[in-house]
Amino acid sequence: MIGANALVTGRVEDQGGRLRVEFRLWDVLPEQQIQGTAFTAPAAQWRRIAHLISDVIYERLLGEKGYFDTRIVYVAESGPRDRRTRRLAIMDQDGENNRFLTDGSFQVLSPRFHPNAQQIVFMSYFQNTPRVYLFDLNSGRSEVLGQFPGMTLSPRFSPDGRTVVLSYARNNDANIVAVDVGSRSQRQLTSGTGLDVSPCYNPDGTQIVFNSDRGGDQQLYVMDAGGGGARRISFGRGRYATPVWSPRGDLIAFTRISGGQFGIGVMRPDGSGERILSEGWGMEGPTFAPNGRVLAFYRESQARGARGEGYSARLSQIDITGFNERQIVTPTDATDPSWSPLLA
Amino acid sequence: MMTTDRRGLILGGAALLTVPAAARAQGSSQGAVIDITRARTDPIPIAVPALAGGGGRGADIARVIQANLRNSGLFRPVDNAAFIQSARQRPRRRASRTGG
Repeated sequence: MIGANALVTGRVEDQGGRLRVEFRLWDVLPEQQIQGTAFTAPAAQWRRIAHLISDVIYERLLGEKGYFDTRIVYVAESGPRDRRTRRLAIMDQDGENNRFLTDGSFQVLSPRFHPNAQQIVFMSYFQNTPRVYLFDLNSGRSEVLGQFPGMTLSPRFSPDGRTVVLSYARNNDANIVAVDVGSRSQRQLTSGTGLDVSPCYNPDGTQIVFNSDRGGDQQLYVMDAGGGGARRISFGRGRYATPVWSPRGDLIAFTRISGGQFGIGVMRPDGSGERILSEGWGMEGPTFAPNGRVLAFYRESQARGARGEGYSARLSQIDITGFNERQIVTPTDATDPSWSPLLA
Repeated sequence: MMTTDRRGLILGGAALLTVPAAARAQGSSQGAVIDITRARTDPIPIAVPALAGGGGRGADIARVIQANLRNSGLFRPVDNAAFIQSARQRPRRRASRTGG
């Protein structure tokens, strides 16, 4: 017996610098073809073909979309902790094809993908001034989206890519602002006292989840995308941060800080069904794979010495069931990942 | 050795390709969808032998596919050597079934 329920066969043809890869997926027992597809791509992009085939296999056998033909952007950190270099970096979802997109001459924070996977919005302190930048992956160029009074935090695209929500802090207050990418006009979505940070839209763009200390300590709230109607959804022990809405719409992932422990968890958008998937000394910043089945986040290990000896920050992936946590290998310390949509 | 194994695999593939068109269409439309909750505890065993041709690229591509599927936790790529062995037996099995 073959010991397999499914079988993949295929043939690679080199067409002068381009590869044509034909593959077939078989159901072994009835010996029936489930799928037959051919992909053509420049020879250097053979890994993409492998990811596309993986996505077809995943979708045909599990009945939902895969997530292999995707990339992850993150902050590549290096150097001593008091003089840290933070570069924008990108890699395939499996850690291959790692590239640094900035040279380290300015600090990069909180990179987030545009829904077309070609642009990245991030925060930077170039010349010690906090600004929000848009980085274009095709041209390799950055442009300033805006400079805001006071401190700007956590920019993120809307699902249609036309708006960036962020929060800016002034006089011990932080409010959420929507910036129109085309006209650069701004609209304030929250007001009043308290720090309203880390906004993230739901998949259809009608609601925003964010975290706020308006009720005393940091909790998660959901409001209408135009502002207003905010209601608290987190009621467990501890503080909640960095909420992200699943592309499937069914879950919100978050960081929870409780009793000195960090955890990555998920809950339904109404706050019910809270589950902690992973816990540790330091972990933060969940981001969903485009099929909403897998999360990436970063995990820190505690420094042993006063100068940060022994500290490390690494990216992990975990299934939303809480199983199968595994590290994504990166050449440097890595924080704050953002998972792209499917590239094709 | 290598050549023999590869030929066995190709022969196995050829036998599979002779599945009648009607059966293929049926396989396509029914789409062997496996319950994902069950798969969570029971990864799907799948054989991904090296794709033929392209110098070493066929093997490289198969390795990346295997790693993706394994890393998802929902699939269990089976040992290729074991698979090739059974693929070599496949044409004989089919031949006896069709009486030819």
